[in-house]
Amino acid sequence: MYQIENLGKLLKSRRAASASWPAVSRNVVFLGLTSLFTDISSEMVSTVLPLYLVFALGMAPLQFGIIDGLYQGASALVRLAAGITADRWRRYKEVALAGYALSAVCKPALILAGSAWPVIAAIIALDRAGKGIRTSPRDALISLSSPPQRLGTAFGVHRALDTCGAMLGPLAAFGVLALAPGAFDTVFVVSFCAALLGLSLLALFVENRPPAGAPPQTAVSLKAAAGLLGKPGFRGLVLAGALLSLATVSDSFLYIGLQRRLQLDAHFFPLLYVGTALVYMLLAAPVGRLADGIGRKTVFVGGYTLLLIAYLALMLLPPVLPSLFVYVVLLGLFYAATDGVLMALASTALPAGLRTSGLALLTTATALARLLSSVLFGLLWTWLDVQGAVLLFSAALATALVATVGMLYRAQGIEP
Amino acid sequence: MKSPNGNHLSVRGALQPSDGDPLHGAGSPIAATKRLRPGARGALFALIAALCLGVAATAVVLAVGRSEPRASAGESAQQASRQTIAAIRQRPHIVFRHMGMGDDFGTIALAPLSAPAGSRARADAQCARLYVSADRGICLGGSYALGGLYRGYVLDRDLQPQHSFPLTGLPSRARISPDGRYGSVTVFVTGHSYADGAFSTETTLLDMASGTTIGHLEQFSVERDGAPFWSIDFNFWGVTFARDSNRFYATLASGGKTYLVEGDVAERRARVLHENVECPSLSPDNERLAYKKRVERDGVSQWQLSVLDLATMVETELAAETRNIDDQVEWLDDQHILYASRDPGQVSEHIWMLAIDGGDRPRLLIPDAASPTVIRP
Repeated sequence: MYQIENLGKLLKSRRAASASWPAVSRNVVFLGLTSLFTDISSEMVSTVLPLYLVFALGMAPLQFGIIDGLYQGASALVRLAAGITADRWRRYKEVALAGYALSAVCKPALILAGSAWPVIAAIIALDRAGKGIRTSPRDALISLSSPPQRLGTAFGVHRALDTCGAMLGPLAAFGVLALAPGAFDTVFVVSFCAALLGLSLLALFVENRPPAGAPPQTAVSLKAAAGLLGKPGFRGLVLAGALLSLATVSDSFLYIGLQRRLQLDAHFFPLLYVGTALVYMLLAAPVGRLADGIGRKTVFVGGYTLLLIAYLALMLLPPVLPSLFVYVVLLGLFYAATDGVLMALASTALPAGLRTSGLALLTTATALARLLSSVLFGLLWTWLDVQGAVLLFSAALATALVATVGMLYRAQGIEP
Repeated sequence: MKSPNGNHLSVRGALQPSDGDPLHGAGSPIAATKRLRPGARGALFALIAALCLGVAATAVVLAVGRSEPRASAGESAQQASRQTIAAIRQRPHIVFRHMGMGDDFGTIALAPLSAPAGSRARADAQCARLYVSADRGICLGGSYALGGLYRGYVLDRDLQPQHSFPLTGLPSRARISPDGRYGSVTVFVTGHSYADGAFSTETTLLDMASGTTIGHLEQFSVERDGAPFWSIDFNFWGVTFARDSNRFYATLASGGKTYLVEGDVAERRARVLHENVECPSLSPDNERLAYKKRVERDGVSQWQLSVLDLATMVETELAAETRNIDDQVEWLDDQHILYASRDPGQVSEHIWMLAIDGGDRPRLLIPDAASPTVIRP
C-alpha cells in the first residue's frame, strides 16, 4: 500500500503546483494501478514457473525450454489485431479489459491443468496473448486521456507504477513460498487475486475516451493501419525506433559483458535487473515531466546518448565494483528517457482514430528489431569478442542516433 | 517550446468528457459499471478488494497449515530413519530420487542392491537431482528464501544436508569424484531478457569438504586439434570423473554442435575428443563412456544411448533401447547401465537397466525412481 500513499502525495503536490490541470489524469493513474497489480500477478507466476514445472511437476528442462519459447513469442501475433479492433469500435477500455481478463483467468487455470504439459503450454501462450491484446489499447487510452503537453508525464507515471508492480511480484511469490514451502497452487491463487484487483480497478475506475474529433465510422482496417507508415512523421518514428532497437544490446548480453569484465559472480544477475528497474521506476515520472518541459525528442535522443555512453563505459571504466553503480544508473535512466517517451512521441504523430493500430505497429517493429539485434549480437560476440561486438554496436548506435536526429527533427507532425 | 494547440493531430477533443461523465459509451458490455455513481464504484471496489485479500490470506493460511505437520515430524522417527540408512549404506546399495506422487515426491530413497525394487528407506531432503559417493552426496533442490529459488546441498554420510550453496538456475546434472574430493554441478541459466528465450548452462566444480566453488568449466582453456578453441556460446554440462578424480569427461556445446572433452581439474584445461556426445558417464573400469547421442529417427531428432570404447574410439549405439532417453546414465557394473525414463504423458520416472553387449531389451529395475547412484562400499 506504500506506493499508493506515495502516489496520493505525488498527485496532491502536483495539484497544488498547477491548479488548472491535474498533473496526470485520473484515468492514467488508474491504468497505472491496473498495470501495477497485473504485473504483481504476472511476475509472481513467471518467477516460480520454472521451479513449479521442474520440481513440482517433474518436467524435463527441455520441455520447459519449449514452454519458455512460447512465453516469449505469443504476444506479437495478436498485438496488431487487437489494435485494429480497438480503433474500429473505439473500445480501448473493453479490448484492454479482455486482454487483462484473459491473463487473469490463466492463473487458476494453471492449477486446474495439473501436470498435463501441453495444456500448461497452451495456458502460458494464452497468458502472453492477453498481454499482447492489452498493451496497445492501454497505451492509446493513456494518450487519449492526457493533454498533448503532458503526454511524457502521463506515460512516465504509468511506467513507474508498472515497474513497481514488476518488482513487487517476485517478492510476493518468495513471500508465499517462504511461509508455505512448495505451495505453488497458493502462489497462483494469490496471483489471481492480484490480477482481479487490477481488473476491477480498470473496469470500475477507468473511462473509455473515444476521440470526439474524428468521425466515428472511419473504416479501420489492416490497410488503414499500414497506411500510417505513409505519414512521414510516424514513418520517421517507426524507422528511428527500429534502427535504435537494432543497435541496442539486449540487457542479458550487457549484464554478461559486465559480469565478465568485473569478474562478478553470476549471482549478481538478479541484482543488476533489480537495480536497473529501481532506477527506472524512480525516474520514469520525473524524466517524463522533463520531456514535456524541454522537448520529448531531446530527451529521447538524450536517452539513447546515455546508452551509447554506457557502452563506452563498459569498455573504458575500470573493472571495479563502483562502476557497476554507474552502469545501473545509466541503464535505468536510458529506460526512463526512452520507453514511455517514445509512446508519447508516437501519440502526437498518430491520428486519434488510428492511435491503437499505430502504437501496435510501432511496438511490433521495435520488438522485432530487438529480437534481430539479440541474434546479431550473439553472432558478433562469437566471431569477435565482447569488446569487438560492443564496439561495433556502439558505432551502429552512433550512426542510428545521427539518422534519428535527422528523421525526428526534419519530420513534420511530431510534436517536440 | 511547447505547441499544444494548432496541430492537426491534437487530441483535445478526447479530453472533453470530465472524470464523472455519466453514461459515456452506454451499451458497452461494462456499461453497467458506468451507471454507478462514483461512491458506489468505490464501495464495489472496496468489496472486491476485501474479497480478494480475504481469499489470498485464507489460501496462504491454509497452505501454512498444510506444510506444518511435515516440519514437526517426530524426533524418534528421524532417529529410526538414520539407523535404517546407516544399515543399508554398509552393503552395496542404490540411492535414488523417490518419484511417487505425493508430498514426498523427489525425496532421497535407498534400497539394497540385492532387492532394488523392494521397500525403500527414505531421507528427508527433497532434490531435483541427486548424486552420492560412499560418504557424501550432492542434492540439487529448491529454496524458498529471498536469496534465490535454487539451492544445492552437500550431504553427509547419513544423507543429511551439511553445507548449502546457491545455484544460478534450474538443476540439471550432478556428479562426485570417486575419492569424494570434487563435485560437479550443472544448472540451466535462463536469460531474463524480454527477447531471448535461449538456454545456457553453467558447470561448477565444488570442493566437497567445504561446499565451496573451485571453478567453472567455462573458465577452462580448451583445445581442439591442437589449437586453442574458444567461443562466447560455450556451454558445458554432464561431468564424469575418472578413477584418479582429477581427470574428467564432459560435454561442450558450441555453434549448434556438441563435443566430448577430456579435462584436467588441476591444470584447468580440456581437449576435444569426439563429436555428438551429451552427458558422458565413465564405466567403473574407466574403459568406456556411455552417453546420449543426437540421432534422426523417422525425421524426428531424439537421443540414442551409445557407448564409446576409449581405447579404440569405436562408438556403438545401444539399439535395444529405442526410446528417447534424457539422462546422464549410471553404471551398475562394467557391463550394465542404469538410467531414468518417463512414459509419455506421465510425471513419474522409472529406473531401467540395459546390458551394453546389446543382447537384451531394457529391464525395469526400480519403478517411480530417478537419479540413481550405485554404491559398493
